[in-house]
Amino acid sequence: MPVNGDVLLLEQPRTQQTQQTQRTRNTYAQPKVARLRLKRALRAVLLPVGAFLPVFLLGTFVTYLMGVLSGLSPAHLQLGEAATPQAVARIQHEWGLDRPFLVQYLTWFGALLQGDLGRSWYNGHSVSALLAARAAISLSVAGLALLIGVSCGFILGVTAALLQTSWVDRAITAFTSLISVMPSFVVGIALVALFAVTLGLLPAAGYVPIDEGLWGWLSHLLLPAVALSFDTTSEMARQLRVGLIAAYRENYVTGALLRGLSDRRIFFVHVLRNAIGPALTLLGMKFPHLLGGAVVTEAVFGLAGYGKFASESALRGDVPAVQGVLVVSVVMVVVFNMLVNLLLNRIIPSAAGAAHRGA
Amino acid sequence: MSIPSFRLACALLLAVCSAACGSSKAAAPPQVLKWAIAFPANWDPVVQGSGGGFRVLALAYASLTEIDEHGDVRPGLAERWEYNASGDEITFYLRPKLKFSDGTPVNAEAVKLYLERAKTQTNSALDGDLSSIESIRVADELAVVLHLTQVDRQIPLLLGQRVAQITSPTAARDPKALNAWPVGAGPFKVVELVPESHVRLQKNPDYWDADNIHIDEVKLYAGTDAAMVVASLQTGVYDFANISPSQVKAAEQAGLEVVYQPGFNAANLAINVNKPPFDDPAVLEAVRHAIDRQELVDKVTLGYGSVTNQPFPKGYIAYDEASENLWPYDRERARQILSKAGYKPGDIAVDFVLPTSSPAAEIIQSQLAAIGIEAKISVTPKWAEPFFAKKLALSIYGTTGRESPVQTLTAHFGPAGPLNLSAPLVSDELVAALKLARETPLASPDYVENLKAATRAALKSSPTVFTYSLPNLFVKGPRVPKLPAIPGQIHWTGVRLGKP
Repeated sequence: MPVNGDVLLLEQPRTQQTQQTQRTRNTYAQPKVARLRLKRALRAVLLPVGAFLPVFLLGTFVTYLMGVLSGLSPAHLQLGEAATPQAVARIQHEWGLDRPFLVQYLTWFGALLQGDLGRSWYNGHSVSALLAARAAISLSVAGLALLIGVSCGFILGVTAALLQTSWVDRAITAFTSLISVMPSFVVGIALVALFAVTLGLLPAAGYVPIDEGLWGWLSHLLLPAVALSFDTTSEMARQLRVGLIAAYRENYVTGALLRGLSDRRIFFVHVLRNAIGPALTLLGMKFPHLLGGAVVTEAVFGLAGYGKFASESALRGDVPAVQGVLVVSVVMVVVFNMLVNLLLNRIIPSAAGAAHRGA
Repeated sequence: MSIPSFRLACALLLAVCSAACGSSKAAAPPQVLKWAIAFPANWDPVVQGSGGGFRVLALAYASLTEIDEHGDVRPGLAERWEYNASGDEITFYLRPKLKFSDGTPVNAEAVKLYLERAKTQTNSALDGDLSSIESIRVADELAVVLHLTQVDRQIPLLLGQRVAQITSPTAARDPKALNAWPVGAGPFKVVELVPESHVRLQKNPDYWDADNIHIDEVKLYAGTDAAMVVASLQTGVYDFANISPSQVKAAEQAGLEVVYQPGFNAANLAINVNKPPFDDPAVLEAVRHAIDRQELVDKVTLGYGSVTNQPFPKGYIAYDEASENLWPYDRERARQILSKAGYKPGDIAVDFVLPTSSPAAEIIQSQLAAIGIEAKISVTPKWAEPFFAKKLALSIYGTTGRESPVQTLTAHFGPAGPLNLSAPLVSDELVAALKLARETPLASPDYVENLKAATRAALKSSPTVFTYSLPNLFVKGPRVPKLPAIPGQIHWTGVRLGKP
C-alpha cells in the first residue's frame, strides 16, 4: 500500500520511475544498471526458492517420521489369513522395515529425489505411477473448478464492490456466505439430484478421458467442478470486494478523479492491481487444496482422484502411499505459494517497491 | 458448374452416402457392459484369496470346474474327471485346443504349474485350501493326475472359481507382473488396467464357451460410493453394481431391478475359548443364548437377510435342520447362567476388536451389555494379524463360502482352520464326521446326510456363533437381462445386453 498520503501525484509503477531517474543520472554507468537488474531478478527468484528448501526438507522428514511412528506394517495388508509371526517377520525384512530409522529415511529420501516414491503396500504398484495415473482426473477437476471459481468469484466480487451497499451487493454477500458454508457432499448430491436425475442433462458420476470426446469429458466434470468451486468462488468474491472497497478509499483515487482519468482506467490500472493482493494469495492456497482435499466430492461422483487415493490409503494403513501423497502436497503448496509471490511482486507495484527498498 | 454435371455430382454424393450408411448399419455397435465394483488388490488368484474379489477375476480367468444353479459341479476347463478305485487319485481331462490370452496353450502342464504355485508360492492365499493334494503328475497332453493325501471326493467341487482360476504359466514366471495384470483363459481379456480406477476388458475369442458370450467389452469402475449407486444407474453411467440393503427401496422407486443373487454368505461372532473370559464354559453358554439374530437381520440387513446359526444360509445342501435351535435366544436364561456361575453384571469385560466399524458389532455389543458383559469395541487396520494368529478373544467375521461344503466346514471348524479363532480346538467326533463327508462320493445317496452330520458335529464343538446370512444384492440397469442364478457367482454366459 502507498505510504505517501500527502502526495497527490499518481502512484506510477516504481520500476519505470527508478529506471528513468537512473538513465538521466547515470548515463555513464550502463554496466552498473545491468548488474543491479540482474541482482534484483536473482533475488526475486532465489529468495522464494531458498524458502522452499527448508520447508521441503522438514515436511518430508516429518512425513517419514509419522509413517514409522504409526507402527503399521505391510504384513496386515498382504498376509490376511497367513499372518503367522514368521511370515510377518519375513515381510518386514522384505520391505526393509527392520533397518534403523535413519537408514530407512535416507534411502527413502534419496529415492524421492529421483522421483521414486516407493511401492504401495496394498498392491505393490509404484506410488509415483499410481499418482501419475490419477493426475489427469484430479488436474482436470481441480483446474476446471479453479477456473469456474476464479471467474465467478471475480465477477461477483467486482459487482459487489462497484455497487456497494446496494441490494445487489447485499444479495451477493448473502449468496457467497451461503455457498461457503454448504458441505460438499450436500452440494454434490443436490447437483446430481437436480441436473442428472431430474433434468437428465449431465451424467451423475464417472470420468471419460478427453481423447474419447470433448463433450464426454466436460459433461462428466461439470458437476463435480461446480461443487468444488463453491468455496473458491465465495472466498474470491469476498476478498476482492473488501480489497476493492478499501482501495477505492485511497487518496490516489481521489487524485486520479481530479485529474480527469476515466473510471475504467482508474479501475483496471490502479485500483484492481492494489486490491487483488489478498485474493491472489488465497488462490495460491486454494489450488493444492482443490487437488487433494476433494475427497467427498470424488466419492460422490465416483472419480479416482488424489483425495480418494489419500483417504483410502490412510484407512488401509498403506504408509508409502500416504507418504507419497504428503510429499506431493508439500511440493505443490510450496511451489504454488512461490508462484503467487512472484506474481504478486509483478502485479502490485508497491509490493515490488517494498521488496526493492528492503522493507 | 452446369446443371447436368451438378445433378451428376449430387447423384454420386447420394450414392456414396447411402453406401457408407448401409455399411455402418450392417456392423452392429459393440455391446459394452459398465460395471461398478470394488477392485481386488491382487489380480493373481493365488495371491488374491479373499471374499468377493474372485468375481472380478472370473472375467479374465477360467476355472477347472464350474457349478450350476443347484451348486452341483459342472465342466469348466476340464470336460470330465475320474477318480481311481480307492478315491485318493483323480484325473482331470482338459478340453482340447484352448489357449490363454497370451497364446500359451491350456494343457495339463499349465494346470500342474498353477497348482504347484498355489501350494508353494510364499504369498499364496490358497495353500490351506489345497492340503488334500499331495502331488500332481502330467499323464498326457490334456490329462493331469492329482495324488491326494487322503480320500477326498470333494476335489471337483474344490477346484472351482474360488481356488482354481488357472493362470498362464508364461505370465506366472513373473508373479509380480501377473499380480498387476491378469493373464488367463477366461471369457474376457484385459486391455487396460489402472489400479483402483478403471479396467477395460474385451471378449476373448479363445474362451471355451466363447459362443455363448454376447458381450464385446466390459468396463469396470472402482470407487463408486454406496449412496450414489442408484443415481448413477438411473442416469446410465453404469449398468450393474453392488447395492447395500439401505439403497434397495431407493433403487426400486427409481425403476431399477434389484437382483437377490443367492450365495453362501454367513456372518459370525468369532469367539476364542483359549482366552478369558471365554475359557469359562458358563460365559460361552451365556453368550450363545444372548444373541438375538432376528434383531441383526432387521437392523443390519433391513429384512433382506435371514437368520442362521450355521456357516451357510438355510436351504444350503449342508444346512442341518436338526441343529437349527441348538442355542435359542433367551436373555433371561443367559443372565441366570452367569449369576449361577458367580458373575454379577459388569464383572466381565472383553476387548471386541474389529477391522472396520460395523453396525452389527454395535448391536451385538448392546445385546451382551443386556446380560452384563461389557464388550469394548476397538477398530484397527491391523486387525488381520492378531485375528489370524488367534490372539483375539472376540471379533466378527463374514465369509462368502466355498463351492465345496467340506472346505467351508474345515475352514471354520478344522484344527488348522484359518477362520477358527479357537483353533486348535476340535472334537474327535468332528474329525471323524469331516473325514466321512470328505470320503463320500458326490453322487452317493448318503452324501447329503453325511454333510449334515458333519455340520452337526462342528456346531457342537465350536464356539463360533453364526448370526445371519445376506444374499448378494445387485442392482441392474434396464439394459441388463436376467442373469444365471449361480450361487455366489456372477456369470455373463448367455447374457445379451439391450439397446443403450
